[in-house]
Amino acid sequence: MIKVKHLEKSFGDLHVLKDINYHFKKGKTTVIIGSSGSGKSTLLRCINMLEKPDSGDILLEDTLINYSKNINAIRQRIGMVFQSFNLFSNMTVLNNVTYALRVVKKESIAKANNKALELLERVGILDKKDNYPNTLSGGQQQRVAIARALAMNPDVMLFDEPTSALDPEMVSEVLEVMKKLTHTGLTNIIVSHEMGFAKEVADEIIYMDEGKIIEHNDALTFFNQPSTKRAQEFLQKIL
Amino acid sequence: MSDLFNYDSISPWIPYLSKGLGYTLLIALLSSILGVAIGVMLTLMSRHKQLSKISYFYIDIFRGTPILLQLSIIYFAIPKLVDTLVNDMMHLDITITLSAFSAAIITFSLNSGAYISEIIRSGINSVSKGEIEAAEALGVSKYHMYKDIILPIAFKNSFPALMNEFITLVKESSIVSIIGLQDLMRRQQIVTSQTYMYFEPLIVVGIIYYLVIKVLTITGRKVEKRLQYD
Repeated sequence: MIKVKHLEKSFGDLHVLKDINYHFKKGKTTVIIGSSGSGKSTLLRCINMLEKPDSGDILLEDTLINYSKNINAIRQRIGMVFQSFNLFSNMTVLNNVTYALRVVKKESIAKANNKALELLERVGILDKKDNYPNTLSGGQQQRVAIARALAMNPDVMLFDEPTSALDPEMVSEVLEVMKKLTHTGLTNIIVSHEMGFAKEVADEIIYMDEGKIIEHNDALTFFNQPSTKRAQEFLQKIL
Repeated sequence: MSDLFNYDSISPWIPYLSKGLGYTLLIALLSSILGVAIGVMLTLMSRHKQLSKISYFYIDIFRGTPILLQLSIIYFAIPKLVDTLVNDMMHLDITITLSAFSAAIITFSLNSGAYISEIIRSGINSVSKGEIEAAEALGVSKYHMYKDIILPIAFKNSFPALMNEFITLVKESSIVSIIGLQDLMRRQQIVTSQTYMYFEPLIVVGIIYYLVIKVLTITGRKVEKRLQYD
């Protein structure tokens, strides 16, 4: 689904991504783990061009993303969920979900509303549809953000540490929603520190350190017998 | 009343004094509308590489000098300067006149434009980077991003400061009395020169200013509350 080839990215003197190569397979859920500053989020943000790669290629199916003239067309196919939710503060929950449908996909209000209501029900927050984001808890906001991304009917969903900004008691409600998105044909790429969740939902695990992919494997193998010393040390530290 | 405040002597003058409020409000209103236009233009210019220098220079000059000086230059010096440049150098004979009212509107618009551009700029900066990224990630165009997200949030966030600027204009417009425009302040001076009363007309004018600004402040707070998203 998404192929990353020889991806390089620096912020000034800081070399964040070093020759990243990976093939994110269609319909699979990949969880990227690693300590802070290992380049996980930057890799994710390069996939929808929120960060511009210095060199290398990123392909969505056969379309080269990072030289695309029409990046907005590609972004419609890639949903993103952020650590800090980033709901539009001047719009109600319903309008947050319908906004891109109306202005990007040019759908009618009625059609957009129907789709949004269905999605809000799916993430369990239909009763808050007329609320503004600042009246919702973090967990509720994140579920709305997931509905907003899903509304565009994306092929790929990117999750950038979706539970890191949440109070502990709200983590599970968001993870529950995310769990339902696996094995639905959707390609999920998740940056997360939730190891239990990763173990449960991931088809593939990528372990990153210092801007490189150190190890990637299916979740069971990775957590039971990581093959690299660094991954072993990392898992020992956090489990 | 007592000797301190001679109401009977001032009361016939109250309608005359009150009429000055028309000029005061008209100057504040027109200048703030033009000021917003100039302010938005300066803000957009400040986002451009070369034009930002002009915008910076403009704001620096208008915020770095007193408005009384700016008004004096525009009303007294500019017509003379233009006259010299045009007539003497080009051997023409054109009379250039600038009414006190035009001079006042030009000065206050140019001046408040400098302040308003700073207000709008900080309003735009107050929009969270995350909300902009979320719009980008959804494939929303720059135009829609500005129209539906950035500008509405920026306007809401800068509304208190814009209201404050308007109130400042109402008060500062009192200096147009030096170029003879019959606003509240000028009328007080006229009444004083006719009646030799200082205290009474000053107090009457003071009360009018205070009440008008009170009304504006309360209205502003109400609008501000209605603009909150909750």
